[in-house]
Amino acid sequence: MRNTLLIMAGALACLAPSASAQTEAEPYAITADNILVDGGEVLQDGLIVIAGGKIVQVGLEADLKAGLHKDMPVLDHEGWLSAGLVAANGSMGLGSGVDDSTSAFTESLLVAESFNGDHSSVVAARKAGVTSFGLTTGRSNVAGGQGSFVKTDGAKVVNLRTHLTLCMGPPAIQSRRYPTSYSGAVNALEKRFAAGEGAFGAVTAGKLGVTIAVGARHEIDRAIRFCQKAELTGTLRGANRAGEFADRLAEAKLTVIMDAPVIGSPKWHTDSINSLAKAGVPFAFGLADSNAGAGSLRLGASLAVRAGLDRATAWRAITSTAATLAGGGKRAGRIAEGFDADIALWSGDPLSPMTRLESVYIDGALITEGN
Amino acid sequence: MHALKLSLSLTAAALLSSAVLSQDEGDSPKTHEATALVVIEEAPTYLIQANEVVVAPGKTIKNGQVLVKNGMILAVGETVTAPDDAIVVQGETVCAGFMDAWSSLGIDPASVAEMGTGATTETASAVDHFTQDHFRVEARNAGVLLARSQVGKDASIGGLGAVLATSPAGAVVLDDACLSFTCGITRSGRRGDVFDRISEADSIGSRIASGIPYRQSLVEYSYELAEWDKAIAEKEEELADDFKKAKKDRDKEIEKAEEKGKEFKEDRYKEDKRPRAPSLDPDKAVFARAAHGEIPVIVEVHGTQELRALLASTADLPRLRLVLLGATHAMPFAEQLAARRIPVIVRPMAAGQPAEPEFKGHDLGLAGRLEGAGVQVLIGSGGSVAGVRDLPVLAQMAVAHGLSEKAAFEALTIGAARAFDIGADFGTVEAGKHAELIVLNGSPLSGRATYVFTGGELVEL
Amino acid sequence: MSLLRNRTLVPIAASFLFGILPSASAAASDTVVIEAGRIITQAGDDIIDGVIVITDGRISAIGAAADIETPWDAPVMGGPDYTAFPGFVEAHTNRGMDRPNENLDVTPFLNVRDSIDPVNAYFEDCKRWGVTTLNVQQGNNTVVAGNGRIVKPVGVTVEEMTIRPDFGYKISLAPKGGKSRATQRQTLNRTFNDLRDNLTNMVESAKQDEDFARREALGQGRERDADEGEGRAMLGTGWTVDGLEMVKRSSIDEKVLPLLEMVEGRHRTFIYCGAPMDVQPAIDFATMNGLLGTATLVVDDSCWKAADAIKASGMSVILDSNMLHIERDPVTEEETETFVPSVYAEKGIPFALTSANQSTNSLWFQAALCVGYGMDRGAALAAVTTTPADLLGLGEVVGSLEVGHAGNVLLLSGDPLDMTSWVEYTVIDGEKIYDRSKDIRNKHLLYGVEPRGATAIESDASETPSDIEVDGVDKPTDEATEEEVTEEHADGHGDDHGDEKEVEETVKKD
Repeated sequence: MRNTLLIMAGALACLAPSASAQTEAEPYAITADNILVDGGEVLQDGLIVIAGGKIVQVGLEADLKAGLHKDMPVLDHEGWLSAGLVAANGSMGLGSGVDDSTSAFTESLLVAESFNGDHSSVVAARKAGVTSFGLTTGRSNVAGGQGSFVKTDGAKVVNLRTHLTLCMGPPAIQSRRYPTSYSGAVNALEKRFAAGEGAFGAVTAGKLGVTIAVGARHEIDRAIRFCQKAELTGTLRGANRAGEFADRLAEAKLTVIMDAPVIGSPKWHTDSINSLAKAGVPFAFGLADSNAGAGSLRLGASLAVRAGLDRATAWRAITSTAATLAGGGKRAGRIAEGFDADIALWSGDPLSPMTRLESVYIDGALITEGN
Repeated sequence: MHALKLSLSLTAAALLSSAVLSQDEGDSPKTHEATALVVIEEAPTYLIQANEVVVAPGKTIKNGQVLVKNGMILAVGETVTAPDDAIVVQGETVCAGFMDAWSSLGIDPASVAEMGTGATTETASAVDHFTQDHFRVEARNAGVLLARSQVGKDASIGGLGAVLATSPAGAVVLDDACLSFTCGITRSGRRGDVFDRISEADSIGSRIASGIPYRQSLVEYSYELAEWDKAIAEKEEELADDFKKAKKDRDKEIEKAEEKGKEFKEDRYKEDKRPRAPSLDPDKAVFARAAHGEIPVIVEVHGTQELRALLASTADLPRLRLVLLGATHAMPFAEQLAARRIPVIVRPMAAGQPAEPEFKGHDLGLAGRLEGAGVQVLIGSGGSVAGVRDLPVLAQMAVAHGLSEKAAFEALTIGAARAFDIGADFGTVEAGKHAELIVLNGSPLSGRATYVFTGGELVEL
Repeated sequence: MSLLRNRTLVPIAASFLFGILPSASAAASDTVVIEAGRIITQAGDDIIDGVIVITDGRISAIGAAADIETPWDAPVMGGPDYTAFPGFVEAHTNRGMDRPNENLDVTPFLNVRDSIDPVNAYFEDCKRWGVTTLNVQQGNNTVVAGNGRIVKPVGVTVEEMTIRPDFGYKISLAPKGGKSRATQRQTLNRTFNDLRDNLTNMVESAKQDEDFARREALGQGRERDADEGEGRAMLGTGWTVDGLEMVKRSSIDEKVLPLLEMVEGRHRTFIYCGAPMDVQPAIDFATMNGLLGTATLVVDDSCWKAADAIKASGMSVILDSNMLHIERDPVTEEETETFVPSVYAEKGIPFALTSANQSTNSLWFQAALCVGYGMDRGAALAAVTTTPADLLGLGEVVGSLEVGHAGNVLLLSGDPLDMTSWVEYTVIDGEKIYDRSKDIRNKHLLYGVEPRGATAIESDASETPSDIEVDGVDKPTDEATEEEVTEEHADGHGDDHGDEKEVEETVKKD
């Protein structure tokens, strides 16, 4: 598929990403055969207007074209347009600086300080259509660093302090430093939450999100009980089996980040996803706890649809819900007025594995052609 | 019997001794053709009605019908004559079931991992419907109805592969579907510098080639034996005619000897020695079949050095039917592959999996580029048993990166069937073929299966 | 036979005994009479207050005491407190041998005669638990193993123990160590293909020799009789090689001859299946090679999944000693337990139980376990008596108490399936070969009685020659003795007199 680019848009095509924001000085519009607004809604022959790095108008081409300024550049895309993908969590760009494992409590550290926006993993992410994600630590600490919401076009941090990561299983619980047991970890955390200082205070005050890293069934069970006891509403991450606890999660108002399904994923994984959807538990796919690359988000969503998940929920799991869980829900993940102009242009329906990515825009600037 | 083999057997049948024949074919004649299904008189008739009847790649009947009974397709068309009690099955699309051309499905995992396989090891003897059978069920429910499976996946010679059905009965459709080798792979502790890998490629060619003089020696022996038999029969007739005289002479000699008091000495009888049978070698018998093109030869090979050596070492075997597996770096040889009509079975993989060195440099665009160069492309799961059910997704990923949808569909259906000699019975929706069919709620590659016809049964999903 | 001592245990209700001869072996024919309050014959109804007469090792009469006339001079065993039961039949075992298998794949030329150890503790256990007939075969870690035999657990040499020599061969469809199923089948198929080719070549060769001899005679003008084949034509329901009568059997290699005889159906074969996927191939293999009528399947506990295929083939099975199959579904992750013998019982497949490796889980225990899991008592008892007897072709000889059968009788203190019952006496071929009152290990276990020889032998110079060392134990405390004795029991060896004792010279020289 060819894009027909007018001159002004062409001058912007080869900008190198850098730390400073690349916003468009001049507004421009993009039309597309299909605009995937938010999972369930598709505009046929739609049009969006971008100005100052934000989406300022969304609608049908028929309705809006006439009202555009006559000199406004219009990009006609044959294919689909959607929001750029969002990974609910990921450690791209951190390299080896994912964890500081010398102490079990490193809650005041900011993960964003190790973020390298030029790292190959970040480049690979945007080439797969991922425009933003929840930067997060690993699992080496009972209370790890504070995560951020970042974009993939350089070290652009959108929201600095989005969530605190807790982990009460291995490898955070080790024999070489305190705490060495689950009950020790719970005890230590309860004390800190009670004391209410720093990050813990911010969590209690509702200013900082909290994410608990889990894996096995019993870890999910314990995390739910911990949250209920401590009266926290947060996110369980790495919770592939969460579907077995769907009702309890819904009751506790917890959300879930899990690995995207891959080729050959066991049936219980997609069953778990379907159970969460049925119980109305918000969930999204993340990259922090699996070895799969950024491409697994879109493939995972289409495999989930193949296993029975409805399209809208599947799409949101890699866009709007992911953005919300990652702490950037007001900025990214939707084609809607006021949202950042993080756009992906596709050869077809992005939920089909037969589709390829054609180009990616972040904050209105063309960042990359697809893979 | 398979056509080529039949002609050889017929001409040689009169001449070959029974010992040679039985050894050459094993303990029973190798039927290199699909096994027929058992006919059940009371079986129901099904009438499939679909908006799109995909008869073959590129050939579709809109709003068509297919009549099925006893696991066979009776008729296909815009309308067909159906009995009143035919069970009607509706769908958006109906097409031929998919075949996984590179698989480990349906066989015992320890046999897949076996490194000690040889030319005569048979995949069909490792069929297992009990261990992890849910993978077969998932594959079947996704429309993958046939799999070309292979034991000794990482061994240098894996032996005879088989085409298995994923139906509940799980028939062995073809028990000698191919002879399999690997070349230059590094899994399972096989290491080697580039010279080792090249010599592996050379040895494949020379082993297959060794089958030719072997069979030649058997054929020559059969001719020599026939001549000797003829000559000796004539001689025996002569001897019988001359017997009376010979007897008289002998009796005279005996008398003479008795008179003289000497011991009687028998005349020495001489005749031409019977030709010596060549020593039988079951491995070479298999190589002979491969060299004469009776069964295809599959080689998993990825690197350019090995590919070059392999293509060179097999260049002088005009009847060899070579198929490449993997072939990560096949593009430099695309012209040669197209000219020699060597198909390539690719394993589309998402980025980052797996990490083995031989797959380094793999990209999803390989299938599309090979197609563009005129090479026949087939698609397989690559031995991941859990991933067989996602075979259509792998095909879609290849399409995203340049493979045409038609070629992808052909790869999963008639292309694979033909490459493994079952194209006469499977792979398209045509009267007279086996009814291995998928009914979908969308297009063949991206739709979801709602019904599956396999092994004479209808499975509702 | 110390019948006199037994007599002290026998109550006086034995009314037809007119006297007790001091010498037990004075009877003109060797006749023994067994009395029991209940006789379970396994061939019909139980007999209350019954009598079994065994003459020359065979049961000559059996019935209610009132109906049977017993020889006045025959020694009597048992009494109204006993229950008589046929000796148990162990359908298949590889215990009691030096090593169950060889390293080579195909070894039909071997014979278990060379590795059975008559003093192995297993045979002692068999006496103790009333197993009187055992089918000893090589183990399952093979492709084709050697010749087995049927033995009784009594005898100083293997020949003495033997009931049927050269009985049965083991074939395994499950992979021998180091192979996978693909290569196992390849070896097995090649073995039988090679057999066929070998025989064909031999026939061919014999034909050619005959043809040459005939032509030579013609050429020399000599009359000659055609050579009658010195061999036998090949029989068999699978494949045959025509003309085998031209080949002398003795000229067939010893490695090959047993295979030929197997295919001809002259030998029983025991085909081992280690997984459900082995069952249909085993049946196909047996059918193709003409073994179906003479083969029995020996199955692993998971093979119940293929029971339908076994039913269709008409074959019988010998079950693994582990009868509870537990597995976890890979999809649902639920654990399921299947009691294996019940599956075969419900499908009507003849099955025999085997004993487990521990001393206590002998055949009575396995049968009792089946009843515990809901099996009909008759079916459970049959699986350790009449069914294995039939499987072994000994249905007319062992497994039940009937006239003409071998005198293999157990006298139990109670019901055979009762946990509190003991085998008080084991009789094989009319001879009492086990008496619990003399079972040292048993007494030690129950009553703390020390084994003979464990107590100090008073060193008495007058009794022992001065230059011979006497194995004796220093007069120890009771605790020390028990420890020693416990060690001896633990290592499983030794006879009634105990093995390792402190050796001490207790010779005193004057």
